[in-house]
Amino acid sequence: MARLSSLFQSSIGKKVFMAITGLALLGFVVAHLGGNLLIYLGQDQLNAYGYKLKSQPVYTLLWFARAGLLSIVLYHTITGIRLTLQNRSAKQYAYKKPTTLYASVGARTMILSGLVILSFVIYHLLHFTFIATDPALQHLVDDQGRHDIYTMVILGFQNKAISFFYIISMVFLWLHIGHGGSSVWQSLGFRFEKYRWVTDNIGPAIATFLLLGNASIPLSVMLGIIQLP
Amino acid sequence: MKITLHVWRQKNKSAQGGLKKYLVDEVSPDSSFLEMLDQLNEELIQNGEEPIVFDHDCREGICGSCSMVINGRPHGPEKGTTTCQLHMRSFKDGDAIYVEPFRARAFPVLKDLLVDRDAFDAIQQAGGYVSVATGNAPDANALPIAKEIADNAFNAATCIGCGACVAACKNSSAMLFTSAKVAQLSMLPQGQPERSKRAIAMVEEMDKQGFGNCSNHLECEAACPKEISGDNIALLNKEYVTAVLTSKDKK
Repeated sequence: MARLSSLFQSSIGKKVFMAITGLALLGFVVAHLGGNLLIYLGQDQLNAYGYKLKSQPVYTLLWFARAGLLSIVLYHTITGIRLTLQNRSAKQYAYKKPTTLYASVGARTMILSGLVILSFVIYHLLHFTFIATDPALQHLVDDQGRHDIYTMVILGFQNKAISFFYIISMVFLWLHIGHGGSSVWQSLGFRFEKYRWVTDNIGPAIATFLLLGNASIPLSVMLGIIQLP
Repeated sequence: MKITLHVWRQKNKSAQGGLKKYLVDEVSPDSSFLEMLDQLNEELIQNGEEPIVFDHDCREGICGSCSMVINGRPHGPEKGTTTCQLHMRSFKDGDAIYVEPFRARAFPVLKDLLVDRDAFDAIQQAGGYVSVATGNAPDANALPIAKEIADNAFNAATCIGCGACVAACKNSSAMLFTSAKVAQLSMLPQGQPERSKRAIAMVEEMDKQGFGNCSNHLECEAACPKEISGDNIALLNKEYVTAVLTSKDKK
């Protein structure tokens, strides 16, 4: 058992847990985008999806999933910060003439992009989940008596500053997943010459898909492609 | 060639160091980087100054003694080359070159460009060996090993333990070194009896020595003078986690 707990403390153990929690969060983000894209199918489809999520027994499961996600986010954030601090103290001195031979910008800014995404998530929850930032978005109901997510999203993104903040945050998510989505395979021990092109490209590919999908929604609202019913 | 050098000078482990500027004239493009430093040291000695201290031994690119970071890159600008095999023709006449010691908390600077790399020895001693019964050496072909496995093990075994991976890593992580040592033995039949004990002991020692964590930047792979593959790090991760989860050791 002592060995098992040392797994949590060891450099490799932490890296493996960062990869597992990162993959879980990536799975959530991809599924979340799937839900978001229903907006292009119109008010009825999006609101029906939201209604289904909030009816039993899905709603009970959803709360378990939320509790799981919250603990994963906490672990991923705290360990990320701890690793960064340890790594900085392990280097101690910077070179007078620093160079980068291989690492991408995304790889070198994981802590920055991670913290930006965390602040975005907090704002996003207050904005669209708890609807605490804008009274105009509260108590919206469609003609079938369901929570009107469709109208809420459009009204929310008609604010250009908020839309801009969402898009910028998605660029940081792109940077973060561009490195993380490929890096996890190395951390989990899956990196072979033969599959290098898959593991090296899957992160940037998913990241780009997420950026285009998510950023398209505020853009479509601002450009009037998606309109109020 | 005329070269301007900015060299890290530091009296001892506890002294505050700094970059000092030197002009070296009449450098032959055919001389090695270390020969150019020898030339400068001769001048310094003649002028009654302290020569620059740096590690070197075989000067054939195989012992792993030479170190130093040249223009921010361990072992200088040529790929797959140690400092001793780097020649001045890789630079231009009139170039300014920054020469600094390998940087890592686990590699304290002892003097000028000389760093203490005992931490690597400690990792090696923790498990980078195979225990063999004494007696006659077995016949070389008695143990068949697939060509591909032999090649991969050999790639890992070419690690000369110079520490360029640690110097290049933004986290001063020793993963590439440790992974090469673990991978080399874990791939071969001779390494099997101590396989899981080795992975655990070497990783624990690596962490104890104060090296940083791996962020999968693979700067190490790019800087390695022996071009050791980062795939070994993936293998180390797998070896270590499997060892911890399956080890029958009570501890």
